[in-house]
Amino acid sequence: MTGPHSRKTSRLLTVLLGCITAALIAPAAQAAGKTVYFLSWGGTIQTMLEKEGWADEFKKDTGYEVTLVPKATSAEIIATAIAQKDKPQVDVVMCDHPAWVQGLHQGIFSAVDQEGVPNLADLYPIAPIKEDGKTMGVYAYGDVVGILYQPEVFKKNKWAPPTGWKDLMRPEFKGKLIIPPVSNTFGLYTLIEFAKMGGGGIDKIDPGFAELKALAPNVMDWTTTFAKIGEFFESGAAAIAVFSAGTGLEFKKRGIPVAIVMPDPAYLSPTSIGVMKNAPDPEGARVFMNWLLSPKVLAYRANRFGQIAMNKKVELTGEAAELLPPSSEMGKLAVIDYDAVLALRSAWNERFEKDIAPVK
Amino acid sequence: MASAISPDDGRCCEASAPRRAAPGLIWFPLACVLPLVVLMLGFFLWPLVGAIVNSFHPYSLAGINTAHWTLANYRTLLDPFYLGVLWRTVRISFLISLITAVLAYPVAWYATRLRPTAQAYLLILYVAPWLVNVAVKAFGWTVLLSPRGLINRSLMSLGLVDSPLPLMFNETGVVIGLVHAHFMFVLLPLWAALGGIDRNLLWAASGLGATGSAVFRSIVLPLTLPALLAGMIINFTINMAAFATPALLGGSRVQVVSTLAYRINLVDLNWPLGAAMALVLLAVTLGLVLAAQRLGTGRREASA
Repeated sequence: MTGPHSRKTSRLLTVLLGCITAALIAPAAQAAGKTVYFLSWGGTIQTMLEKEGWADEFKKDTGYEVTLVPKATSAEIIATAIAQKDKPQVDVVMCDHPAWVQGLHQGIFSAVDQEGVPNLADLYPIAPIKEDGKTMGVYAYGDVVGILYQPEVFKKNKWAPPTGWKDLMRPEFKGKLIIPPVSNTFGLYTLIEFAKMGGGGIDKIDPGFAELKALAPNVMDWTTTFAKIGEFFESGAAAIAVFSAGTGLEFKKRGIPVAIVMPDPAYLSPTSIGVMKNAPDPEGARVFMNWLLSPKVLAYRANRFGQIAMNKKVELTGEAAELLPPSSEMGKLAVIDYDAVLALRSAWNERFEKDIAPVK
Repeated sequence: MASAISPDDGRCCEASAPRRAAPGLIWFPLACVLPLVVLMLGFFLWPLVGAIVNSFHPYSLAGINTAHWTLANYRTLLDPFYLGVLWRTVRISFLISLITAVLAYPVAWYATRLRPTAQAYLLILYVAPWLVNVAVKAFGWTVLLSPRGLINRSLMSLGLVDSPLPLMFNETGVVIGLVHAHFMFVLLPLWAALGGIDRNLLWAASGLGATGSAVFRSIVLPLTLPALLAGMIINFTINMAAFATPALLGGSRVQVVSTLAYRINLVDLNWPLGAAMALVLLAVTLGLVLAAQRLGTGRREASA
């Protein structure tokens, strides 16, 4: 560099490069002592443990420390767990059930019983995940697939509020509708429900794809994250979306005007927890799992984040009590045959990308 | 790579006569290079070898079957759907490099005419987007580009368009986002090369009656071509690998290889197919880069 580039120029650029380098070298903190390593989300789980004091609460309750290993999505959580299945560095893994069950199929979880995890006794009958009669993990809590919409937009356009799955097909929602892609948990339920409405099901999925294809021109975006949906709602780009009821509650708390409908059938979208096979601290892992399944922790998650607790002793208050199904309704929530879906899912994902996503 | 892109190679070594270097002069540079070599071997080459091996194994729900070998993963990628996604990735990446080159020339030219301090500030302005987190940048663009975003609302309230222009969830959005994100990789080499041109050449040419465009075509362009190609190659390769911007501004409707590889690796957990896909992306990118370099050196040899 010669000519008009002076020493001053290059000095400024050097400073700039120095800043970049400094930003890249982030300090890494390490915890010591008896620590349980918990692989899960960086979202509400991290908020709860690290910002709202529940990691300290765990230490007070059990004497163990917990270190969260946070990932962005269920897929990343289970991929991380599977990647270290020969030599695990984490003790407990929790994520959405459809992803969790991929780990189960690769044999990464170790069986648990009431001796190690006493709170198993208080869970709803749908919660335990059995394999050969052994409990390999449990649903810790769940969310319900919900239809979220903006009441003000509906009022302004004189649209009738949606009540169920069929309303998604209404022509007036053209360009205002959000459905997650089939690779997303809530998109998966939508596909299966559409197939059922057309006389099919998991084993006969064609009607579901036909319906998605017919609906595709109306879809503004096949959105995967709740943050993006919130943004589209706030900016008025979208008016109605399929996602989770818990997300709706979170939107309300953030001041985004949204109403939530739980369509019939309401699908339970479970979050599952399990102990890694050959976990570094198998005992601590069970202590943590038991603590997470306790009425205290699950009640907090229900009331704070709108999640449906799988522990029968949890009491709901406030908005959560209005929104979430009462314990008497728990048996009515629909669950899908995850084993059957797992074998078909990657073919469905590919079919969605080939046939549905390009449709404008 | 350096031999093809450095504008002044061949110049530095002409004067140096062969002489025996002190032993320290041989070992010291080697010792300096060693940590990075070890790092690259351990954290780049070794996983890459692992991926190559994986790409020849079959996958089932029970995991990767390392006992069997297969070409099935590569056969899957010959499906028109996957080839289509690869072609779109190459096409968009090249288009972005081309647009960036056209836009970067005037900026680089303008920069070289400023006082040195002003040059630095101007360049920092163009480097700044690279310092902002890529997801934040893409979100910023959605605020501008979405159907109810700033641009569309302004156009509509001015009465220039009746309905919002489709500026995102399509290739347009991806191109806009990536031109902005990777601009400096073309700008900086161009700026360096333009700054290195002897101004007397330009004065002489115009003094002899050459028009502005003739000066550009026969002096500026040939002299800056190696730098331009170098910048465009770097720009092209990071466009090929870009993930967050296509994911956020293209949405599910615009699949590129990186977003597809994400789904296959992390949602389907089909690591062998994902590895095959990554290797095809690597091979195609490398092939195109080598071809571009050959083009660059060929031209210079012809003109020499």
